Amino acid sequence: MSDALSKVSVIIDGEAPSDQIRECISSLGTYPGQFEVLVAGGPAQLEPAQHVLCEGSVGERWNEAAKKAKGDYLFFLKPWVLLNPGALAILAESLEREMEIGACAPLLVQHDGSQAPQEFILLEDECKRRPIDVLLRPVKFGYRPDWQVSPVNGVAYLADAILVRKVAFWGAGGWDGCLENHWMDLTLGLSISELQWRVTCDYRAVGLTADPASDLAFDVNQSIKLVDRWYGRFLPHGLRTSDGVIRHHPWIPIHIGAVLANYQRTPSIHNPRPSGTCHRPGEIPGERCSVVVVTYNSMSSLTACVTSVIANLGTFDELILVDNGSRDDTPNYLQSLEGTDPRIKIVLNGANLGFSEGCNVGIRESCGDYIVLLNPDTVVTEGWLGRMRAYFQDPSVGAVGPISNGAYGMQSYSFHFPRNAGDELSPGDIYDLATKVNARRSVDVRLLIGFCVMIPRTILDEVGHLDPELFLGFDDLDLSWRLRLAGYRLLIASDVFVLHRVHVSFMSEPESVTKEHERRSANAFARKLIAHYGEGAVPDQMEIWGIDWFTPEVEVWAKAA
Amino acid sequence: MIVVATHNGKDHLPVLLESLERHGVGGHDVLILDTGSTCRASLELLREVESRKWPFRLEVGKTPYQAYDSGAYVHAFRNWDAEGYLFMQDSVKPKRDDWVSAFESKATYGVGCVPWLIFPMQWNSQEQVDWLISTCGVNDWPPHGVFGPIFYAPRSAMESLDAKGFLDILPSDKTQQMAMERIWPTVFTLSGFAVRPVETVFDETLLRQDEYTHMTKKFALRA
Repeated sequence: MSDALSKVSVIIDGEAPSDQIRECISSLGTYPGQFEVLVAGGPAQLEPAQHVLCEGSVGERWNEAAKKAKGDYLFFLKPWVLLNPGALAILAESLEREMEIGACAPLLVQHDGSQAPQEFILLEDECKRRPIDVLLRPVKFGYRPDWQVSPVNGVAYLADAILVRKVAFWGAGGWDGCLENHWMDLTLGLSISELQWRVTCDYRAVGLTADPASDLAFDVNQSIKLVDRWYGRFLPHGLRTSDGVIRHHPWIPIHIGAVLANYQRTPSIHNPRPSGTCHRPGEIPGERCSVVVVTYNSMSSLTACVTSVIANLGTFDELILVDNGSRDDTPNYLQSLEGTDPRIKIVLNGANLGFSEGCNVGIRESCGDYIVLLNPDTVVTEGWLGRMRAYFQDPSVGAVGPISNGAYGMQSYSFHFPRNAGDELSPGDIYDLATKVNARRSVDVRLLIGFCVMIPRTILDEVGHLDPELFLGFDDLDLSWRLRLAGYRLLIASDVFVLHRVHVSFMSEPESVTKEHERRSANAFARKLIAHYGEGAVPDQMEIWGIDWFTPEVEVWAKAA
Repeated sequence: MIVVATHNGKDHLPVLLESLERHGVGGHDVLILDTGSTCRASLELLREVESRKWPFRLEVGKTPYQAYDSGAYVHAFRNWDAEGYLFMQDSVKPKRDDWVSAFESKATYGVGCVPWLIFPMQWNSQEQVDWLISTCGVNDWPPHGVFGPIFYAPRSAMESLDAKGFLDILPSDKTQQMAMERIWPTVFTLSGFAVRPVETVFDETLLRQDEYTHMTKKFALRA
């Protein structure tokens, strides 16, 4: 643990008996850094704590004290909470280690040893898809005792004890003094989360709370107030079914109350699904996926790919394998698969039609509502289809791709994890982090690399299938460009990991052959861009895709800009 | 002070000025800084804008930092005195009469930067990441970027950044200019100032559909 942590200002509500405040302060113990205690309001003069004269609601008093605070981190503490030794240092260390953490709460237990309700969940009505209620529950989402990479993410915690980065606190506007206890807590957490700061709970820091149980009973009017305030701004965590049962949101399969980073218009609110029974993804005919894999001398990687896809394919999904005239054992392997699983379709082209046309053959053979174009040198992971498909609840999303160990640019997993996660993670580690830390997280981009991309069939039909002129390479630039021209967003699903070995099929041919194919494709695509924008008017590739590696031949590209 | 960075802005500037006339500028001065326009029509427009009478004080200047908005912002701060600066580009168009106060009202205690919109911190290239690390001297950053960059900053906050040398970070190419959307929030955060947006998270669809409350912005090609 660091011995030079940033300065912390502890702010304790002064509207409590002096003995209780004294006991609370003494429980803070030692802290390896600068440290001050401010008591907000109340009559207490408790040396060495600084007494801040202020009146009004708890939020107003805490805001006044926060303005006097000199620390980089503000620790708001209710006087009835007693911390375990070292808890404050653990919380400060979390903020120190990761700048993107805006607030960190300790785990709170009650005197009977049970975990205190601390985390907020918002429920929506199963069929109307409107937020209807707010509940508090103990922090509980898939924590593993050996999982020490990062504190677990929430969205808002009760502020009985919470350490907040000062810049996150004031960025969120501080406490809303007009709200009552708990509602102001949750609103602060949500405001901080909306600014993209992570709000976390660190299980290593523990506090004992004696918050009276009556305080935890939320009345309906208060719930409605909170729901109204945040209506349309984030995705509800769970569903309440017509018979009153609360269950996990079907599109948040990992855990209730996970990270909710996508605060853009949430589809369940703005684009309500038709009323009716909710189904699990993969079980409704309207949500079938067709996975199209084009193979070309792919035997060295294909078995692992096919095995992983089959293991993670829904009952109504399908896998279409299209061979482009491989000269290795690929055609034999594909033929051996025929009849082994009704979800598998095999197409042998007998000649190399190019990657794009190979994909188009597979698309024409498919009958799913979502098309996934997948390279044969990939291995997919559990839940990949369901999690990618979930992002299409928002009709503005045109395509979704996963993160990977072998993808250029923003799809590289390293952009999606806490910076202390380590440089050399195993695929298992990456999968764990992606599904636990990043649940429901997505990132808007201008380019999805073609090793794995999911597109609704309706959208693919609208923008057109792959361009057969792009024999090898740049099909992904073309498709991303056309989708965005049509007004669709491209998302990286930060919670989906697909392992990618990169260019296995490319390497089955002499370099001169693949280079020639790529050169022709690049030039063809460049001419297409020039035809669209006009000579001299093609935007910078950084503007179109955020990349600088599209390199057609100079004489072709010279006409672009 | 409203600071508008313009570059070959013949298509944008008239639209912006028309909306400033219509919705006002909250009693502030307007400074238009040319970042090195090359197009004759745009240069003529700037001369015309300078000579015309406006319902607010308007000045046209030129920045020595060619082509990039952040250089113009820094130039404005160092050469024009004001309590606060609303930095924006010529492709922005205010939509409501209270658009300036929407920025100012968010500059509450502890806030040094009020962007119109933020975006979840993401990068276009490794070069951007490397540039931030080398210029800011950190390998960690806040979780949000400043869209545009379009933001209001009180002079006191800009002075604090200047004292720390952060205003010497000036882009010299397109990649670095795009990185400024990440560097501005980083240097404000490192200086102890909060970033508090007027609206919420940038969403390209909402922008294209003109659904943000206070302003809109055009994405367009420039000569």
